Amino acid sequence: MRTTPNVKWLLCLAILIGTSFSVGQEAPTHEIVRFYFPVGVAGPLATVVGQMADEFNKTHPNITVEAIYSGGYTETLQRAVVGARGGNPPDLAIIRPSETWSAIGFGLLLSIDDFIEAEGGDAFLEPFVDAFLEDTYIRGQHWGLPFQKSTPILYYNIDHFVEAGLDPENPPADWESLRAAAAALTVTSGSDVQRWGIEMSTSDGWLHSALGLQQGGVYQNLDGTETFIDSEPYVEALEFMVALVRDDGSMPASRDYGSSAADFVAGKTAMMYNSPGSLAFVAEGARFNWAVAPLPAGNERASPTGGGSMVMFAGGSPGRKQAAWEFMKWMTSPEQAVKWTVLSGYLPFRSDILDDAQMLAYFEELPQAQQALDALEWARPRDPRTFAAGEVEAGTTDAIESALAGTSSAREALREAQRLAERALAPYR
Amino acid sequence: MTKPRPLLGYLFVLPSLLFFALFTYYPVVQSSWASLRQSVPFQPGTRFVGLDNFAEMFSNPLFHKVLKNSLVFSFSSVALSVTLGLLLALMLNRTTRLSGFFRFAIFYPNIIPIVAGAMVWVFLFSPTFGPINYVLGVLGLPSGTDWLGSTPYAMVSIIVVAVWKYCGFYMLLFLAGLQSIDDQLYEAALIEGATSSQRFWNITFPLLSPTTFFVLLIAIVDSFRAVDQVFVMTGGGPANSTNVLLFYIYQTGFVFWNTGYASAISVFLFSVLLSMTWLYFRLLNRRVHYAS
Repeated sequence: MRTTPNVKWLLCLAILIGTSFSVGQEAPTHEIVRFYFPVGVAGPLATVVGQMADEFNKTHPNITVEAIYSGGYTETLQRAVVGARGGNPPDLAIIRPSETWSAIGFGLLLSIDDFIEAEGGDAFLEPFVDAFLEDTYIRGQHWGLPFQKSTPILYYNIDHFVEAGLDPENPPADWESLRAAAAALTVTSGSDVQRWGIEMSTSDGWLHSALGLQQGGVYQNLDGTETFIDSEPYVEALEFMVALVRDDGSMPASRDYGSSAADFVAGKTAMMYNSPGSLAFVAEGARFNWAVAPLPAGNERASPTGGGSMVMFAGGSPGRKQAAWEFMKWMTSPEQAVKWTVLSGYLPFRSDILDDAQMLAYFEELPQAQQALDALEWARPRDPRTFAAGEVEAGTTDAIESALAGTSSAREALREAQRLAERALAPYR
Repeated sequence: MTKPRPLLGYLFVLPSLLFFALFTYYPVVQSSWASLRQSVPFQPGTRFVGLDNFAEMFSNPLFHKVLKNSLVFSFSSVALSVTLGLLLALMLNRTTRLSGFFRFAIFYPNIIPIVAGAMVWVFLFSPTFGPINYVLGVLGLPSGTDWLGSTPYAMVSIIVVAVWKYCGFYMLLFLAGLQSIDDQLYEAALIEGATSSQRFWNITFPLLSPTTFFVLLIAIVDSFRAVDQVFVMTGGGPANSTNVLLFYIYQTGFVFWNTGYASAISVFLFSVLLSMTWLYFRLLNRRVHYAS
């Protein structure tokens, strides 16, 4: 076959263009940033983060961010730690604040203080919600910026409230009235419960820690090397849960966040403590009137933060870390924060975006999302804020489970958790 | 006669030897080494600690609980699934019109991924809208059991899933064993007027014993390897009541990041399984009747 001169010229041209492009792309200043992210709530969010990274790559020709979806929080940390120990760390990852302590304990993270300083220090941090920022402020240094953040809220079924003669305009504001409402809302037939008054997830320590904070509890020392899990406020918190489960029979002994949300949507529970991450699921499934409110107060109002923050891993050239910072800064900028909040249902992590037109339209569409914001007023960083946080929290979760099952008293169960925590923290003292 | 060619023999086993070296022997050596070390706080490295991790293991009450759970789980699931497998094999040994269908139906759980199967069981066991509680309710039985969230039902539930998963496989092995028994023996027994229970205890059971021993060995090893349904269904809970050795290793190593301690437990589990295998092969050589 003969090629015509035209085709030859075209080929030469194509090669020329091709080389010039690749030369442009491989300029020495080009940095690749690897970013591991989890999706705690639902699958479609993975595409949202991917789209945001694509947009960043388009507007920042010198940086390529590889956004890698890595399952849940636990799997993301696993991937990052295994990678880092094998000499192949990611540059950025979204992990839970408690895991940030663990990762610092392993010597894997890089403090972002210098980057923040270069951006203007406190002025740069000012717009972020304090409690969210505090989550990753550890031993006097900043290690991350908030991204997918939440705090537990009370969901309640307005129709059930009306039916039980309760005022849906005034949801329970303290433990006493919560307990009374839960009992009034419970429906039984024989020994079987048809509808629970309230459900709280027992799959981690989040909600117990919320109740403990509401009694003025302090879970650990500032260094994160000592815990006070069996102190009075946390015993009272667990005793309150035990009272709901075992004395009143108004709460099931065991649920996780997903099954609680499913029960709420199915009308099997009249109230639940859950993450705002379930707002979209409930909005889609609920065939009844419902609302949300801040958690009822114990001795005081308090609500622990939840969700993940973006942290930077050590390793790689300064140029690469600078590029990672550019992406971190961009993802937490007002514009992206609005986009993320509206699409994900997580709580806004910046206070300067609440008046944004897009945000207002979102609140219009899902008023419960705006009601959820009220809880932020009492938000406090999430416990445990210790090293070996995974083990410390697992001990507390076991204590909750055995106290609610009635196999040991709240006090004895938490004492055991305290012993386990002391064991786990021994190397850090 | 040609000269033996040892090199050729080695070449034949080389591929599997390579796989074993890479995925079995190397990790065993590596975890033995890691079991003597512990990570240093605030640094990426590890340091040598001698047998500290093993001392920690034997003094940790949680390890004792996990060990007990593992024994309960293994004993119950092996006893139930092997007995059930044998009974099913005896029932389905005769070829009838439906036996092929039943064999397939009972073997089926073995070919679907256990994670997918366990997800279905999570739904079946759901306290509020699960079919199991629904059926119990229709029958007028207590229907409020939180199967996966309460003690001891959580352990019962994961044992049920293990039996469901494995008994079909053991049935298949028993069927193969049954079909290798010579029919003439049964014919002779019939002529002598032996009852069906005499035929079972004097012919079937002894001649099936090589199969039974083999099935028991893999059943025990399988039961110690069971972790998927624990991971999916209970996460070791409630309050560690379904936390078994392999899950504990995963949890310690990849959730709590105590790599040295997790390696020590792995070495322990490896030694237990190795000695069990060794013991079985010894017994197998001595006691078992072989039909020739």
